[in-house]
Amino acid sequence: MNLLGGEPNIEGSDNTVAGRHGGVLLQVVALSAFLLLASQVAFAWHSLRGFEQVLKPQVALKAEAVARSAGNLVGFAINGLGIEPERLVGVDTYFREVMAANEEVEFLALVDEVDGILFASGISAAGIEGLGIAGGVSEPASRARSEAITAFFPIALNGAATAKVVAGVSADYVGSRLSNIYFDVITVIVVSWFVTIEFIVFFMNTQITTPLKSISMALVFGRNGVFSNRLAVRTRDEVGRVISALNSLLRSLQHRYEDFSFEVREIRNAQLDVKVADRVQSVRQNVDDRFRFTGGDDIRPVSSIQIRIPLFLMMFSEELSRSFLPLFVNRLVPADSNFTNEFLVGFPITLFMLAAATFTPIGGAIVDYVGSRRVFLVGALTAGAGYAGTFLTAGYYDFIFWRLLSGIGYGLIFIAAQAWVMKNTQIRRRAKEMSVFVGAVFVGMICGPPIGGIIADRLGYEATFLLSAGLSLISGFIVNSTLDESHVRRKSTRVWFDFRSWRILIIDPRFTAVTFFAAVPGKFVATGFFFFLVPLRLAELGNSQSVIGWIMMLYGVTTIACLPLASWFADRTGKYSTIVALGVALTGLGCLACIPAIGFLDGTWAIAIAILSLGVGHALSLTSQLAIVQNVADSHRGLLGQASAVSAYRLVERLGLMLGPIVAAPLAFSFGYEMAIVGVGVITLAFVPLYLVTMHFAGGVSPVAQGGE
Amino acid sequence: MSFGFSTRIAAVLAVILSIGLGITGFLSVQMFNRTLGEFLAARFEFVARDIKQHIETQLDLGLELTNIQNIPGIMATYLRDDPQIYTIEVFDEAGTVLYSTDTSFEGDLVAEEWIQAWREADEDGVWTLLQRDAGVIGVVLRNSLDQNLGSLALRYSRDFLDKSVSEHESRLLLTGMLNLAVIALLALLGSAVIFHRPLRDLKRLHEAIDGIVKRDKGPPVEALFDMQSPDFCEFARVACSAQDMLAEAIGEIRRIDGDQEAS
Repeated sequence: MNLLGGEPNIEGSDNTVAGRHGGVLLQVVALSAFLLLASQVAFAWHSLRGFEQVLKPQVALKAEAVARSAGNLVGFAINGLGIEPERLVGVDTYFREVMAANEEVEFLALVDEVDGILFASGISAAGIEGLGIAGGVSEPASRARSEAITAFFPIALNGAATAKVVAGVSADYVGSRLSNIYFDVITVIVVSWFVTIEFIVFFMNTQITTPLKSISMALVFGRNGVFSNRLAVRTRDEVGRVISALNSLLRSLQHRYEDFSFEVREIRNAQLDVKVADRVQSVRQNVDDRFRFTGGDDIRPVSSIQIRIPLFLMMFSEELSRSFLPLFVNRLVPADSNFTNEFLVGFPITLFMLAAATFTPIGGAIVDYVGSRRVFLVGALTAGAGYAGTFLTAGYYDFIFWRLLSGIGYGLIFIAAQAWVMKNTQIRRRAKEMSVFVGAVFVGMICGPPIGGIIADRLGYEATFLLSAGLSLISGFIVNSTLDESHVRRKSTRVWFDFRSWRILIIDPRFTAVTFFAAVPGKFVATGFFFFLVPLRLAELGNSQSVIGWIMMLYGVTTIACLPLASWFADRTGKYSTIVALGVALTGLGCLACIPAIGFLDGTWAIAIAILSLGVGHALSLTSQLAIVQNVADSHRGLLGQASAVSAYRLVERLGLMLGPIVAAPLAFSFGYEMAIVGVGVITLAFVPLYLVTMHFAGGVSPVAQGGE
Repeated sequence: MSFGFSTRIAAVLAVILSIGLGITGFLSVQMFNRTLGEFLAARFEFVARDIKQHIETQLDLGLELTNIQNIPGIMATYLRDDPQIYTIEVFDEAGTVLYSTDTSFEGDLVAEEWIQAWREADEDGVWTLLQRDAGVIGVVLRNSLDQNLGSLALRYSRDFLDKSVSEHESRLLLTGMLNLAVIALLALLGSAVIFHRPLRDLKRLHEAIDGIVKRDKGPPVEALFDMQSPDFCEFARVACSAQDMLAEAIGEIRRIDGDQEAS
């Protein structure tokens, strides 16, 4: 008999202890976020001042070097060859060539003390006068004014300095370099902010939310007359003292009941009169009918958050090498191979993805049988071994083997973490709980590459892999010590993912719709537009690498920022499939911002809008897609495990990953990057009606009704 | 009591936030190092290219690299103009130093890593190395037939870079420490404010549960505490009724047993 009528809704009810103080978690996270952001902004401001102080003199020195070089050449022509300054030929061309080779030099001029400007490039006579550089100079020098940094190199004629070469660097150049640094600083702040918040949420969950949740569970059990449990959470603080008091109360009731039971047994055993024995038994039965004092388990609250830090660490460790992996492989490529260099560089990366894709469904089947914790542990150890091996790798073929191991580990971890979230999810909060999983993946994606790039710069590529190996082990250790699956009933029979499972899923129109018409276009637009076309188009528009990186970061940040709201909305309305359609449509529509006819948008802004739209669209659709897949799995309970269904979904969606660049590349070749983006958007939008029609024929827009609810 | 809990939370927050601040500082110093390094390299690359142009002009006139007599003079001029330049050297395809501003190097072989870097020069023929005490920037020398004849290498002082980075580090460390002190204080105050009510409630909850444990057939449970938690009130009511029922049941069976013995 389930006296509780379901698991207590700890955070959702204002009547529970945790519910009453549920805002505490939010308040602490908000306090931490504010403190971190404020201190980081102060820190960054201080840091940028340091940049400005050091960079300006360096720019002036470069301008001096340019002026000196040009001055030496002109001086040689005047003094060495005896050419009159005003009769020099090709000075303008020379100045232009120097300026073309040195982007920071805005102008070069040869100025005669008597006749004024003789030759100039990049500046007019009025401009030169505006700089106020009249007068003779005897030594090379530079001067910084608000509008320009100007360097002079005197040219002596007959022993007296009568002319000078003037090289100018616009103040805008320093400003533009600093603005690139601002973008880098913002990236740095965002990255460290995300990492910190991840750890604070984990800390708050283990120190406050979980103990409060266990108290709430004990109170809910007690309210229903169940006093047979014991709280297994241990903390040495005020919460711990309440837990201890509750355990004392439960023990006291259990002892009283044991005493009572002992007396009942004694009386019944000593009693010859059956009627009296029956009366005694009847008293006991009355007690047993109202309360339960024995046979309970330890109360160990589980939460999907518990998997977040280990998963984040694993994703982070894989993403650390993202920015330099092709460069690292390039160093290992054998010189005597029959294959092209591009193929050899790409092959280990493809193999990694293939291993991950293959072991996702295999891991899914194993998770249904042995549980998430073990599969995650095996995955973390396998991936860790792969990273450690890569650290020690001596050649290309070793490297392939170690990457293969890492890919297998990655696939296992991915599905194990997802299965853990699914198993510890209430049906009405599926999208919200899934945002835990999706969020960890995205935070890892955002934070890994920039930090990995810097570590590789400083310590070398190999050391970064060693760090990844260490993080994998830490992740495995956390999983081993925090994830408790003792309450999980594992399958008594194996439900392997086989042809029959595939058939069940493929003929279910909800699964077909959500994977082929929503997940596939979602991944298609991610790789085709975001990973392939965006960097190329932004570079074509003349953006620096910093700006490109920053704009691309918008995707992850937008997705993470919108995930909680999107998943809350999805759970609240239950209209998962409508929200998925909305998300896919938004990702496609965003790309249309790049239509050249939309003239009021600058090219870079159009891309930024498309990326924001992609982020919001993915935030809307990703968690709801997973909720639908879980509902589909629920409706085939006994025939199909949830992990298996999700791993099938993951496998199919990779089609989209592959299709993205395959379709985008010829589009870009034929119509240019801009129209290729529009083309990708149009193709994505074409999937929306297919999805809606299939869902409609599946028996309703909301699959929740057909799911497990 | 509540101070202890808040302090613990604040201490952990301060530690985690300091890690966040540390990451920002670390990334910021690296960025500073990289940017300043790029600026320095750009300046010395310009100088190296300028000298290269002089040399290649003469190679184009048909002179052998080994026979260009004004190279040492040109290099000496540039060395004199910039005190941050340590040495300027020209080496041939075998790595033998042909010209150097430090003539004692002439005829020596350059380090293997220089030759390796020269062979891996980028498309513009530029290669760079960072050594412990100096930065090296090199440019490939080519003749009019685009044959790679060797390289010009310019060693420049890292003192300025290292000193600037070290000063930047110290500045950020000081700012970080000040920030951390403020963070710790605000975290302590913030957590004291945030946890004031929950801790008060937990204390009452603790007292109330103790009260239930110690009560025998005492007053109604609602009188034990004034918490506004219907959740706990209901739990306490059921727990008290369980206590009472057990007590009554024990009394009942004893009475039945006693009656039986009496009869």
